[in-house]
Amino acid sequence: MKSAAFAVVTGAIWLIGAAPAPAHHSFAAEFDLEKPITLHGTAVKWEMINPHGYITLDVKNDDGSVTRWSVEMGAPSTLYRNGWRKDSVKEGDELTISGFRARDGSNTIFGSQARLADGRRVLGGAPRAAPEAPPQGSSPPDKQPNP
Amino acid sequence: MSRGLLPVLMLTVAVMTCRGLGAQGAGNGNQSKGAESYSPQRLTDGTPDFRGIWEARSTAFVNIEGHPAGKRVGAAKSIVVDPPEGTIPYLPDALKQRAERYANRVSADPASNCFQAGVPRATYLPTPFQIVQSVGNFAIVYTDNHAYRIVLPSAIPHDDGIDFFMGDSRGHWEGNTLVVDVTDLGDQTWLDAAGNYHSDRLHVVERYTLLGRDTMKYEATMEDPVVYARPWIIRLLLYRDKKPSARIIEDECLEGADGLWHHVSPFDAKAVVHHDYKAELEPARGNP
Amino acid sequence: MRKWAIGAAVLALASFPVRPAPGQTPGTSAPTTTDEVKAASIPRLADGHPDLQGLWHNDSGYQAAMANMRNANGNLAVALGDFHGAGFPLPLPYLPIAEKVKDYRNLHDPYHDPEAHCHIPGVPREIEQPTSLFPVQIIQDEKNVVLLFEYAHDVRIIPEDDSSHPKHYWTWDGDSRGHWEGNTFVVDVANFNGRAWLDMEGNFVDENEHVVERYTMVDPNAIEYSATVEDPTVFTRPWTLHLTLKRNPPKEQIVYYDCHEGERDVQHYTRSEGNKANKHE
Repeated sequence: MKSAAFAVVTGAIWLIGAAPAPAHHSFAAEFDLEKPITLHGTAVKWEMINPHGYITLDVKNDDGSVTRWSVEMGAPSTLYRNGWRKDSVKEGDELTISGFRARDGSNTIFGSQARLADGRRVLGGAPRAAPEAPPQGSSPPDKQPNP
Repeated sequence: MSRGLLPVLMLTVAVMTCRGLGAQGAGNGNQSKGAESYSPQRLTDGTPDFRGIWEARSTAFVNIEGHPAGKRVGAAKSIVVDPPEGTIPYLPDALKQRAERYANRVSADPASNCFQAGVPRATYLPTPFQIVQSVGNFAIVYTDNHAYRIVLPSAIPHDDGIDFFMGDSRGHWEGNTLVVDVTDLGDQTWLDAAGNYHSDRLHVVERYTLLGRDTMKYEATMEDPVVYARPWIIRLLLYRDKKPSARIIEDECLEGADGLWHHVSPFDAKAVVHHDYKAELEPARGNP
Repeated sequence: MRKWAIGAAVLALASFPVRPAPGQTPGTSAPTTTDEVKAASIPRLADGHPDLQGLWHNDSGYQAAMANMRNANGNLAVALGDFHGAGFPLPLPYLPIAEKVKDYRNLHDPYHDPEAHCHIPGVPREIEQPTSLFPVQIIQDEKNVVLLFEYAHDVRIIPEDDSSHPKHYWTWDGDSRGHWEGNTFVVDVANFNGRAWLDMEGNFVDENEHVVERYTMVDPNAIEYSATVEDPTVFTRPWTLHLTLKRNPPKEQIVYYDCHEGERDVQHYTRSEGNKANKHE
């Protein structure tokens, strides 16, 4: 199974607008817009639920270990309008997801854009796009994300 | 406001006019041919006027298959009218799952977490709902958890690939009956407090018919090939709250220390947060 | 066909007595030609009142801020909103002790914001913040103006009969009673339970809040909204927010959004001192 904790990069878009990041419902308290990351991994679970959709993603690190990440995204209504459906992700799908790291150090990100197994690119409902660049390097998890 | 309803309504009005069903804007309240021939008041487009606050007097919310007298309810028979025996035609394995849900019903009932009741359960809860209706628009607003449903015209296809607690509703008129097709109900709701349940393949067709000014007949057909051996039907009456001051009250839940959510009464003065700003600012409260 | 119907309705209502708009005395000179044209094109119901029905969103603030991202991406990336537009008059005129409470909540307790716990946002927050991202459906059935919010399926049923508020009744969203003044729907909102906040940065109201809203349709696709908020135990004086509700494109609908089901954020919230935006423990 070919998965690696590095990014697929073409046409990276770095969008740090002049306007300050809006402090919005839960986002600023939980995620850091200055800590973008891109993950490439295998889908374990896809939950198109309230109040946020979640993808559980197994990411293979350079040293061969696997880290389980939790990818939070927007409201189901937002995801629906962006093209997500209940069957958009199946267990085993290889996904590339860019987003922003959680502040608490857990393996949780808010997913801003994703490339699905069928090649489609869909937005996850973050306040802005995350730059698609190789991460700083993955480290063993210090906390397991809660299921 | 959606426009797809207009051709449907115009056709309906044309048909009804041909049948000579009385002047626009006036109902004749004629019950001499039986309640089913009641000609209701109408909106300016000829559709029956369902506006108002309605409530079931049934205790089907306890168990739609009927139940003995309990602490706070009298005995009731089943509201299932088809099959005529009044029992839900579960598939054998589904019966076991229902038994499991029944055994755990106090905690397993999604209502105990203040999830929205779903369809058809929301219709026969012991709290009223309001029908809001104008030309081209129809919505039902329930007291319970301030749930609502917007009934869009049938011409608009269902949303697909997403679940809603209260489903996705599409309506059309058959004579004086509003027929509502409901899909996308997910599997996070029950049909009552007794563990009667469904899968995410549930499909409900409701029929609302005024029998008189203040009485409405409600029927719902359930089909779910994962859980039921065949479609089955419930029927009950809904009654208008005629008080001019009648209103739907706010119903919101608060998370409790027990991890469950509990409905807050808007009449409870103790539930009001009275400001005590000095106390809030005192360091003794434990915030650094 | 729709424009024809509107045109016919306007002609039919030409002699319909309409109370003058606020600030306008009967017999005085009419507004400009552009305004007259716009007023004539506003759809009306059979009772003569402007037809506010449809799907709307708050066009201020967040949407404007996100406009750049739309242009750059070619798509609109939306997220849960908690963002004040230009019409929200910050800083609010707090009483001294209330100002301290606001700062305290902002620093220490922002994640106690009840909206973050999936509660009804209250008035005027629901129409000001979540409605910048999640639309509101208005249905008007000549007895009530009903606001069906997508966010947290919040609902406000507003009778048009100017009836009185009940006693011994306290709520997140308040109790709303409306009446028409010319082309403006005026809503008096009271009976709050002191639980809703105004945003996630500590701005708040308490159980003594009282709001007067005004909804004025200025053209078929825009409703000017204002809310005058007073709360004698929080603010030194009333203050007013303004925003514009814009009509969503015709094919769009409410996509139901509960908040409740799988809430997992609060466990990850971090507290911070000082520079809230950038530090974490």
